[in-house]
Amino acid sequence: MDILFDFLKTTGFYQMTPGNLAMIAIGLLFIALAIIKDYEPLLLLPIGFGTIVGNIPSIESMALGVYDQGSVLSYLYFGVSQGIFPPLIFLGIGAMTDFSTMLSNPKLVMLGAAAQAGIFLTLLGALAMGFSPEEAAAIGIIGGADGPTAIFLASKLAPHLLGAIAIAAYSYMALVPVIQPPIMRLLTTRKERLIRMKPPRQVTRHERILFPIAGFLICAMIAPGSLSLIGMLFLGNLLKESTVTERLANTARNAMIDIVTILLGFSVGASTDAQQFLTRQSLMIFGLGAASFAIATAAGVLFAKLMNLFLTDKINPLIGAAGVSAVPDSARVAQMVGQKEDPHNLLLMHAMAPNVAGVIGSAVAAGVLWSVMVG
Amino acid sequence: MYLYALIPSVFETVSDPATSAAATIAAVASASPLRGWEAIRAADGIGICVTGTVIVFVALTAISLFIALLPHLLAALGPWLPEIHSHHDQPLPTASDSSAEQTRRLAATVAWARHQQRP
Repeated sequence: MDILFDFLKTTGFYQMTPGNLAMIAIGLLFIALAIIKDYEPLLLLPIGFGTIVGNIPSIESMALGVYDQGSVLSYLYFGVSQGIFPPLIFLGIGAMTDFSTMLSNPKLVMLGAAAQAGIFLTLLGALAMGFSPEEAAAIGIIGGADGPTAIFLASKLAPHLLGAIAIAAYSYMALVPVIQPPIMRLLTTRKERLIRMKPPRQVTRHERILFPIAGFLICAMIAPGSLSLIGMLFLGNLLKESTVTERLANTARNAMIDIVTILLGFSVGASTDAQQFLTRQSLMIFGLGAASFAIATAAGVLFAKLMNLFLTDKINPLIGAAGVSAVPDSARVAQMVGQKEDPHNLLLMHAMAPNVAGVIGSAVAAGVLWSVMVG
Repeated sequence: MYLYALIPSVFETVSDPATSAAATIAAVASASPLRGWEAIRAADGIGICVTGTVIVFVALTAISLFIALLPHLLAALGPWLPEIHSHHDQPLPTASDSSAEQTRRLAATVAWARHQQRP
């Protein structure tokens, strides 16, 4: 009988805390959002399930959780904590990305730079709220709207905040269709939303092959901290564009990115143990994350309007919001908001230019912040 | 005085083996007296913000300029650039190709059947 009672004390029912229950509810919410609302299901579903797994109480003497040395989950989490998974995801993103629209209209690259204002203004906000500079930098990168970049920088600068930052980044990425449209409508007039842009020109194969090599050299020379992210992004793109490594490109954009996404999502979710996650700091990070997305969107739209003061071929300022590098969701949102005014205005291909430029911009910003903080 | 307030909280957390390093850092952060503009100034937040924004703009402006110049560069280098043949550009198999392939398969099948019938 004693054995039975001892065993019962080791069960999850006995050790469950209100915090664990709350986190399991959040995990279930993520799974529901993924399945019912189709919000970023590839990410929210593994993160949600991981959250449930990470909040099942276990015995202290058993190595089960991500923070227990030698546990299976700790080995999976190693790819997150050491920043291994994000560059692998970037390899897949590179192998999926078509830079043609950006190559055909290079001025749209600047919108991707403008949207990174969200990162640096959020950094100021985080400092003002009492976070250390390293923590503030890791929180600010949420404004880059790039989950892998946020995880990469958080693992380097503020590993103790990694769970909260990753969850905030991916949650807001999933909520891009909810957060961005009101800001875009608020900052633009109907006349601006109706602007039709010239169709992009045809880009030659030489251009598409040379760009990843030159783009990497430029970024890595300016911000060496972004080396692993940018390097893998452009390697993936070169694999795709060269067409001589089609098998590798296919693996990178299909099997590999899927495997890494599962491992990353699940282990990030499993790292949200209530004792580590349910803190005042996490709430502040969520607040700052929402602000950073709003600032990034506004900065992109306003910069497009500023550019229009000097351009003869006007830019539809809605595509400025696509500088937030949530690929391709923010580009889709620009298309959706534009089509509400003019159903025949196809903004998606134009919006992809700032969108992919935003990916490069946020990786460079992460590299800069890393260099500044450790330098 | 601030340092005095900070040190015991750090040592308390460090002395407890069950407390993680994360909690120690959190304790330091929460014990930090600096908030608002004071904190931004102490960490040189404006400097980081301006420097970071400028570097991102410089990097993407350089990329933008390179992209704008690329067609002119390629036009100038045109005579020296090698022709690039895409693996996707390979001609589709012709009717004669497919009949040759069929013949090859047929020959292989016949050879295999004869091999099986050997005593």
